[in-house]
Amino acid sequence: MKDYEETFKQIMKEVSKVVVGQKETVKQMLIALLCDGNVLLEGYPGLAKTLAVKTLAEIMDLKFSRIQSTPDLMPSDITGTYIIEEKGGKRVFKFQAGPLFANLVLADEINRATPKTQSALLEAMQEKQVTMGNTTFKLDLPFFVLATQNPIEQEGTYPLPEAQADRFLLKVKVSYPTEEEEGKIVEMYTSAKKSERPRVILSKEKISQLQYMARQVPIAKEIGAKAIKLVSLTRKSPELIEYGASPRASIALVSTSKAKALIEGRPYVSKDDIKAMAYPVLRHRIILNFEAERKGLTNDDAIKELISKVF
Amino acid sequence: MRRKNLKSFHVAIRETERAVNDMRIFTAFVSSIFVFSILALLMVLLDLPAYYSLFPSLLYLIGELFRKFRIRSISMVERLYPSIDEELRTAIDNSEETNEIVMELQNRVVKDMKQIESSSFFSVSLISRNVVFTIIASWLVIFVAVNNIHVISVPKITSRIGDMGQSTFNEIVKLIDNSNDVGKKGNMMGLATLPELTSGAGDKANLKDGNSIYGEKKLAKLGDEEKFLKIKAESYDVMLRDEEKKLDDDLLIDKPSEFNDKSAELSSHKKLIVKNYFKRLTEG
Repeated sequence: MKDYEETFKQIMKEVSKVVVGQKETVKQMLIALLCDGNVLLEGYPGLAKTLAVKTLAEIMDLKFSRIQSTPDLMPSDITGTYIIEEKGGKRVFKFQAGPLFANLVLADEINRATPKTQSALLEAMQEKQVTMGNTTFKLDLPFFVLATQNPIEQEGTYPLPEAQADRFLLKVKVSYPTEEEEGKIVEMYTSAKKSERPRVILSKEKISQLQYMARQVPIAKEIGAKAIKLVSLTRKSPELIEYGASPRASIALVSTSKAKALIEGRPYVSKDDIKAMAYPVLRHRIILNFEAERKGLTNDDAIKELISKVF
Repeated sequence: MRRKNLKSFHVAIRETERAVNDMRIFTAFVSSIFVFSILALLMVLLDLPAYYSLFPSLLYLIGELFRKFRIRSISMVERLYPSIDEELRTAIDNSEETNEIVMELQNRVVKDMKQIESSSFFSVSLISRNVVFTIIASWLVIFVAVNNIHVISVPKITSRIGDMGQSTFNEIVKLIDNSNDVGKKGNMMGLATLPELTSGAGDKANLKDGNSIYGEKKLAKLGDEEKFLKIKAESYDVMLRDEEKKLDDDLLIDKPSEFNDKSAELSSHKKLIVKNYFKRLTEG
């Protein structure tokens, strides 16, 4: 366990060479990677979302690609397309792979892409494959999609449908850095000193091994039951929530709690893991009712109330 | 290696459970002895045999053991050691798993459980208090028993209540019989007799046969006849005669000429009567 804890400490240290603060965001991205899940990052522009993802890809020696979502982005722009190629005097169709053919895909401002393009991501996210015409292409594993969305400037955007949002394991809120952290950022990017590049810490094999180890972390029956109760409570609280989370949320809550325990070097899942992971797991899977919205409650407020009922 | 690890984990759990159970049994016994001594003191003060307190004390012991053993031993450990609560529970729930992480958890639990002190499972203050009060109560029992001190005498009270009940019952029977006689002779008060009031129609045939719950009527009936009654002081013999003179004659002591050494001696039965008489006199 100590070795795993040490590995994750090193990753965090390497990330901090490039990204100042945002430790919780990076940690939650690592949790999602350990659970083989996708992450939806929500935050205002300029909070180092893209930089953090890029740095992680670098540390893990993964192939990174970026998709800048716009309303005119076509599905074939991300999946790839067939092009005509001349070979030995003959013209043949050749598949030109799109940016989805990478290990770590950053879909920037995903809510700006049309629903058609968004749904093209679905198959890749869920099945880890891309289908073009009659041909299905397996994606190189590990495969993660880290999508970002901007909570402001909602005009002309296509908010993710609930079904699609549910495919993301976690919805991570990226917050502003503290004044102290901001000072360090300014110093890092304005001084003459060249910033350090992060070292490669993990390999694809090591990631697969860590994913396997995360699933091995034991959980007490009582704690597991509480996690399930918490998710089922989202469906039984009509005074707050109109639509609750699916059983997929229960799986996500337990698996991410296990991954969190592994990252923290703890050989068991604690109640605090469930409580902490409930927010990123559930916040995009519930829809508040009119009354709760009228009161000015947020999804996180509703989750907090449900946690207090269960624990 | 894995088997050894699992074995040591199970041994640690079993030992902890045994320690907790021993402590629980010990605490329950000490409490029960305390309850027994208090009850014994109460029994002596009430002039009842001290062993009467055994049964409630046993009941208390059973109840206490039942109450204590309803909670799992491991839950007690978890409650007293919240720091190892989750890891212990997880290790027990996943004791059959044999992967690397579970093994590490088991090692950690075994290590942490070595720091558990048996003394933490019982309250020293409670045990000390119970022991001190038991000693005090025991001394008081001895003191009260030696000096024959009773707050109230329950046997006397119960016998008096019994006597009072008997005499009240007899009075009622007499009253009922009297009213029956009055009824027969015209029932001047115009009241119904008690058996008729209390018994159903089906019982009337039995009452006519004289088999009422008040016994045979002929034995209780005195009517308006004047009778003379005296009780011999030396033997409590009841003399009932029609004439007062006859009664006096019967009560006269035998002629002196008939006395001899042998006849002057009281029989053992009469000696007992005399003894009882004086005893009752002293009791007031």
